[in-house]
Amino acid sequence: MRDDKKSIKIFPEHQAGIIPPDPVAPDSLKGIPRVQTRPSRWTGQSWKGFVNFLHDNDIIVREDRPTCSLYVTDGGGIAYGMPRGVVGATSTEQISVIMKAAQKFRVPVKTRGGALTTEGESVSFGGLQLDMTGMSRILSIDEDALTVRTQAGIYWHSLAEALRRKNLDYLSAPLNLTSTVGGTLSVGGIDINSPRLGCSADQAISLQVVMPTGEIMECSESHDAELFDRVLFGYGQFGIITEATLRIRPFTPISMHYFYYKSLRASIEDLIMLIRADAADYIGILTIMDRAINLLVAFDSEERKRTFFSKWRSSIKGHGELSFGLKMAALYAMHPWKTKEALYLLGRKRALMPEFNPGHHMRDGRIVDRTVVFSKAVWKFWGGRQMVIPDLATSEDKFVEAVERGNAVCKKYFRNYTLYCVGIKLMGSKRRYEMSCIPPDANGFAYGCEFEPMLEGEIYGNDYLQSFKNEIYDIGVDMKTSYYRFGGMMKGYIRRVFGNNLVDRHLAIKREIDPAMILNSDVIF
Amino acid sequence: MNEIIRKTIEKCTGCDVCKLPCPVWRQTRDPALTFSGRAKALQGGASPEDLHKSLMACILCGSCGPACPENIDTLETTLYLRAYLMGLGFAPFPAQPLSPGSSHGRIDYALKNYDRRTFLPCEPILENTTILNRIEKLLGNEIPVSIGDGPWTAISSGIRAGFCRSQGLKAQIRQAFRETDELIVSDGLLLQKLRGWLPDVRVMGLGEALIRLPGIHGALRSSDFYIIESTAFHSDYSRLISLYDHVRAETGCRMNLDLQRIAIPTGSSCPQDRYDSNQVDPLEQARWIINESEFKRIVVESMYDLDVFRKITGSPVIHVSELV
Repeated sequence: MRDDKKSIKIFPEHQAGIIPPDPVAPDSLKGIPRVQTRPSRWTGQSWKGFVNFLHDNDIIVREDRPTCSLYVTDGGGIAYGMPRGVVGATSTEQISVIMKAAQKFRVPVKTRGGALTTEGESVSFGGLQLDMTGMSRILSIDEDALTVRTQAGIYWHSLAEALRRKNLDYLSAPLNLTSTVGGTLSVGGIDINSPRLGCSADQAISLQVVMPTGEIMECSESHDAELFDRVLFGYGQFGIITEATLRIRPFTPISMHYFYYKSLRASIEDLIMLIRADAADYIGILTIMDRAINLLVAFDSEERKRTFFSKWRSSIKGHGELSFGLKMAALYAMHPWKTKEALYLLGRKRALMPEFNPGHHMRDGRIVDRTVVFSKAVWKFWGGRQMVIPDLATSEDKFVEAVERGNAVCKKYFRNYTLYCVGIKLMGSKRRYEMSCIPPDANGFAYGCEFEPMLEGEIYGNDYLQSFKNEIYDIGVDMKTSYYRFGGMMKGYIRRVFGNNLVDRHLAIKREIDPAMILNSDVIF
Repeated sequence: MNEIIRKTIEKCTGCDVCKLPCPVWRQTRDPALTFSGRAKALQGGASPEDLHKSLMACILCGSCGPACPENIDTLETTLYLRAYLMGLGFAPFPAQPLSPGSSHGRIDYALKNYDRRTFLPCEPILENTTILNRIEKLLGNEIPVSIGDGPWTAISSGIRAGFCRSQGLKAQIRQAFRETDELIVSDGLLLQKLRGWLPDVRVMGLGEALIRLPGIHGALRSSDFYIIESTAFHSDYSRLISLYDHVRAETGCRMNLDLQRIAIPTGSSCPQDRYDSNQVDPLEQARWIINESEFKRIVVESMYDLDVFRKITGSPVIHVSELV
């Protein structure tokens, strides 16, 4: 009894909706008032009426535990929640009915495609989970205009399967087989050809969108352009993409070449130089810690490859595999106490390289279906029940410093890790990049680095992983950069990074078009 | 649940890559009916009993196996879960009696001793003596092969249902094949099991045995569309993908391989008419396989696929044994 009274003194009562200073730990959001955008949370009210309404409209809501348990977490595996019910999306009209009902009954709706979010953005904490993957039909392919119209719940891989029957391909998509078109367009989407072709979202020509209030809209750069720009990179806040018309291109196998570095800075400087010069069709950096740094370049044609080797190869500092191997052997021979590290690097290389050149995906020295090859390797070597991938997206000037600072954080927390660096060509209007992964000071190109610890079966507490992520994200705040993943559990960073004016302007738009604030709540707002 | 299966389920990261080639997913778009759906449901607290419908829906084509980045034995896990449900008293699947030699989920088998080189044909081959004679002649061209009879259809159905798991059966099978060096099996699921049960015997699928013959793969043309029997192919994927990729590169023929190089199944060998939940339409699968493709002839490894492709195309459809 005495203890209870004591605890009441330590944790005094406070006014509903206002979060008091944290009595346990110092406030990490220095200078930002601890006020929640939406202090109230849905507690299940009106659910029955909502479900009955949908039932009367021939929409089945599955509420059984086995079904709901399919959606308990996302790719990150850190945020856990359970929807109250699930609907598999089947048509635009069905989604329209659902959203009208959700506004009326004020029931939150969380959309989900491949669920490759890492901060819980696609996880429901109550409310309705709308599984978009049922809407996966390709509606038309225009081989002359090189466009495809598709339902947005389709996986990029399934889209590629259909396009390949006509020897066509999409422009750019995440190196992940199970990302969906709609989900990717909502966040940006980065490929190793993004230095030439931009974000995946930039290949969209037009969209069909179900508004949070249920209206069905068609938008493009020339028709209702503001909606188009808000929905692309919009983190699902301003509408649900149900169909998209995308640019496509003829399919080409690629020839891949690797250059090895010991210095992060040198490799990034070369990456930036090559991107500026448009020297390769695909380009990125993949590292094993900061010990073995691999600049990969690839080409769609022999001509582009020849030009690279005649014009640019001599300008970059990277070594070939043999030369780099000899240098590393000499280095570790002089540092025998680092034998364990050397063996790890060697083992990792031996395991990885065959996966990037599997015989059944090679024809005449070229990789056929690079996305499959890379994606399978990514899942095999970097996948897991938990995926911790904080990132920083910066302008060119800040990139080297951001990566070096992030690398230091990785070293502090983990023995083994990988950095993955890419460039992104800015293609569209600046408005769509506002409050997105594209940093406001980027000019012409933006650059991104993912910091991915190799968890390798070791068990880390969520607090430890969150601390690691926060240290990376804090670099972004300090350097005024952006992030590829800034939604979900990163909500606390949004005002710190983008400032109150911009966030409040977006919040006002959100309130206007989603009066009940029920679509994808807790992602940004 | 068995500890090994529990750990296997725990290994699933939920990446959903296995969903991409799954024919049940392709035709239903219901994630609950896929392997990753079952794994996620079990991880989320569902019981195997909750997964009855999902387990019934699986056609055991094995497409999910080679797709899995964690190398989970998806087929064996599914079979184990079926067996687990059987143990809980769920109606045996398939619901109909398997064969005259079976009753109440038990198979009364009597196996003879098999020869050094034996071919175990499936029912449609046994019913087609022309094809059977042709296969016997082709396989026995250099080294004689004998046709192995026995309750193999019942055993295959039992494996499918999940109840051919007893040590007694395995011991009897080992005994029956103690003189055998090479065993050729046309039923993909039976092949997968026999390979595990007979580690000292060279066990291969009928498709592989035939395509390895120079006369057969030399007769393939670039205008052919070759349909691999998926269960056999996926049961030994890392070895067979090289073989088939070599054949494809050498002959220029098309194959039912998707972008992951996984064989798109028709599902025709799954006795769906005996099941409550018929989720995969083989005709629909076959249409997807040949969609947008130009070819002059279809060559199938599985006899079950002959009829399926004949129904959807006017082009000739032949069994691989008819190539020469």
